[in-house]
Amino acid sequence: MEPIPAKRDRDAAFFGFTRSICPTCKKVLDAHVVLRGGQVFLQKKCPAHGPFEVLISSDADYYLRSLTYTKPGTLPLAFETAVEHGCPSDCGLCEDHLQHTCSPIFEINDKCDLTCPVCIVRNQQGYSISMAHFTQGVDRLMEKEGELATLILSGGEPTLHPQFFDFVDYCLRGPHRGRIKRVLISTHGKKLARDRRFAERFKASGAYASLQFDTLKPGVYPKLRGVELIDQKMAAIEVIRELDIPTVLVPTISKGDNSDELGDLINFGVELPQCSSIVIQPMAHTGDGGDGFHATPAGHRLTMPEVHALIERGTGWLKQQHFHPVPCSHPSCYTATYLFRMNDGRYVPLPEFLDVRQYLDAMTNQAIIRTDDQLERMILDSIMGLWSATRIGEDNQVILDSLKGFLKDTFNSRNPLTAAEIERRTELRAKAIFIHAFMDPWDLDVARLKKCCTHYVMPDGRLMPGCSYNNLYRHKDPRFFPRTEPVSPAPVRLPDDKRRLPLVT
Amino acid sequence: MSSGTSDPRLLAGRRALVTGGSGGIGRGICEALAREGARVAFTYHGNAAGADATLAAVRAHGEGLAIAADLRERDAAARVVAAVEAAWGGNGGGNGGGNGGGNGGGIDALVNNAAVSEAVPFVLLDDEQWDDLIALNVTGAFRMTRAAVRGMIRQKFGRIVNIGSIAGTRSIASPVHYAASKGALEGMTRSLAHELGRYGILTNCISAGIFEGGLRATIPEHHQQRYIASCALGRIGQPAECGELAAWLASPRNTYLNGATIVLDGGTLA
Repeated sequence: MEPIPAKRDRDAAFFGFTRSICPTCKKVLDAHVVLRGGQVFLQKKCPAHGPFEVLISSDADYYLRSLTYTKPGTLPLAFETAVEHGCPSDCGLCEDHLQHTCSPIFEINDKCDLTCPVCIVRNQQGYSISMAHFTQGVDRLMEKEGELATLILSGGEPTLHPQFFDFVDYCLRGPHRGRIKRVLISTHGKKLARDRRFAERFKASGAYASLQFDTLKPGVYPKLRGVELIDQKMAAIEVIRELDIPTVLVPTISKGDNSDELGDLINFGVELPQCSSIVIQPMAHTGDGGDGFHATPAGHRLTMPEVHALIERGTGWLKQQHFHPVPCSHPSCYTATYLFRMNDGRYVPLPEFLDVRQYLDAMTNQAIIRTDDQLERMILDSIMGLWSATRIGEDNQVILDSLKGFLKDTFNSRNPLTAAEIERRTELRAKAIFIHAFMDPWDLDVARLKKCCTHYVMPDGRLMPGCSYNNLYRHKDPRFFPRTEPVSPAPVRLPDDKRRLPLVT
Repeated sequence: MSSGTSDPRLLAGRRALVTGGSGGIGRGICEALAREGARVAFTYHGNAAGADATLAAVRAHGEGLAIAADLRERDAAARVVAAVEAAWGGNGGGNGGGNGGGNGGGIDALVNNAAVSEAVPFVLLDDEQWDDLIALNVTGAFRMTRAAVRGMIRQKFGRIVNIGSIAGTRSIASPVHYAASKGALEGMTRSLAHELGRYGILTNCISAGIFEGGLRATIPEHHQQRYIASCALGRIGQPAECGELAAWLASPRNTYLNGATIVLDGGTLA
């Protein structure tokens, strides 16, 4: 009798099923999320290009815990495309999309005077949006959102667009005045550093600088951005200080290249009065730069828990547990912590004196902290908790005094401030640190895409989830690639009379 | 200035004193009273530029007087009233009439508007903050009223208008010391109505919602949005709109409304 062959176990524990794409041909594939050795991997197999496995979390416990940070998504006021082919082939947003647009990005050109090796877009140097298309895109976006906390103008390098300031004016002083609260300009900062008149006009425009800022050391920019930019970046920072331009610092972090600087970059941003938040972007292997930065991302990917650990190691005062997933998007896409400046100048993370999990609605992925009901409740509860403690330690008293001082100075009839001044003062007192992980063809996961709230604004009214656009649509966007074949299958547009009637509730 | 009965204006020939007139609701009240024919004196503290603007607005209609005063100081009220009486005493008021009695009175209408607020949670309020706010919002109004009614009692005519707040009327998110101070004004209004009514002095209170300028700055934006959303008129009030009601309450045209608190909020639920 033939011996019965011994059965073998699979090498990893199955955790979930999702869809992804082939990194080579971009075909949509089924994918498994599996656990192995305390880590989490995405596995998929392309019939033409074979199996792929990519690390998506270096800490399985953290990953599983993070999935419990969730809340119902918010519907936009209208959808743009029908559910026809299934995610991720219906983008625009389709009626099955689970989140509205928290963080819209409008690319106004694809012209840039840098060719960054880590660039995630595909600049062809030929496109500059017209005023008509810009206003149409913004108008259609506002039809879907009603109001916006932030609108990000990007490119290319948006400051190179000759009508750049007209666009900012349209957003802040045009027909949507007051309903678009802030405009952020995603910039490398060269014009701010070099052109004083431009910088002064930038300040007068009311826009925020969202400044790419990867390092504090010479020698890193040549690897990440193609040329040494350290002097220009620091010159831009000086202009920002001098003109008091509100700023978001955006470091792109590449493992082994500048990941050891996370602590220094955060400390720098925290000490910069004009910096309202720091948005850390672990590099994604997509776009003209990212595609080829490493032959394969294996060993080069920074997952959320790794970034948290590097921040703790680098700062000493920020702990991994201070970072929480932002529940409006997928927990693997955004994590954040909030800092509050004490009267003695120290910044204390809110999770030090507050159970942030109770206030998930207050956590959004907008780069600017907003004063709203949720934030107020969070602050008030923290005051009550600290004040009613059986023993108020010295630190608690400093926190209480600081919170009181902030409220008293900010909302006081003896020194009345405008709403804009109040928001600015809040930004000077409270800062946010976000980690925003874009996906590339290797780790693309439709479960994350479906809840994406960072959307590219198309002039024709579509809103494209960031990572579906970057990986599946950008290289066929006729604005940038007029001679390319269209995306196939093409998302199906909803007729006008259906757009305003969401079928999903 | 005309004070004849043929003048149809609500306050023709009357002398009014408004506390806290350099901005917001206070300026709106001063302007409305002046437009309705009153000579308007007002106090201000610190905001000289605002006081200049109010004075110019008042003088576009008639006589005006700006008096710098910190109404938290014990003798400020008496000094302010004395200044108004010195300027305009003996040439106005009178029992229910519109001609000016010349019988020793000095002020026909007092509007207690001066107030401060600050958004500090209850548990963090200290004695100093409580005392400071109450000293102006409540004690200041008490002292101003006491100083002003001496002449009103003599002339058997007076109108007192206290500017309260919906924070003192109903349960809304509001600093506790501010709400308490505005609630105190309502109580003071009701009691004064009893005590002074028979001398021809009618006291009423306007429970104001959120108005442009002034204390609006102490209200977080999201609270204002919630207010607007629950307001039947869907907007913040304008100071002039408070001025319109104050002018009527301060006028001899009001002969029977006394001890009342009128909610002026565009019809809100919040």
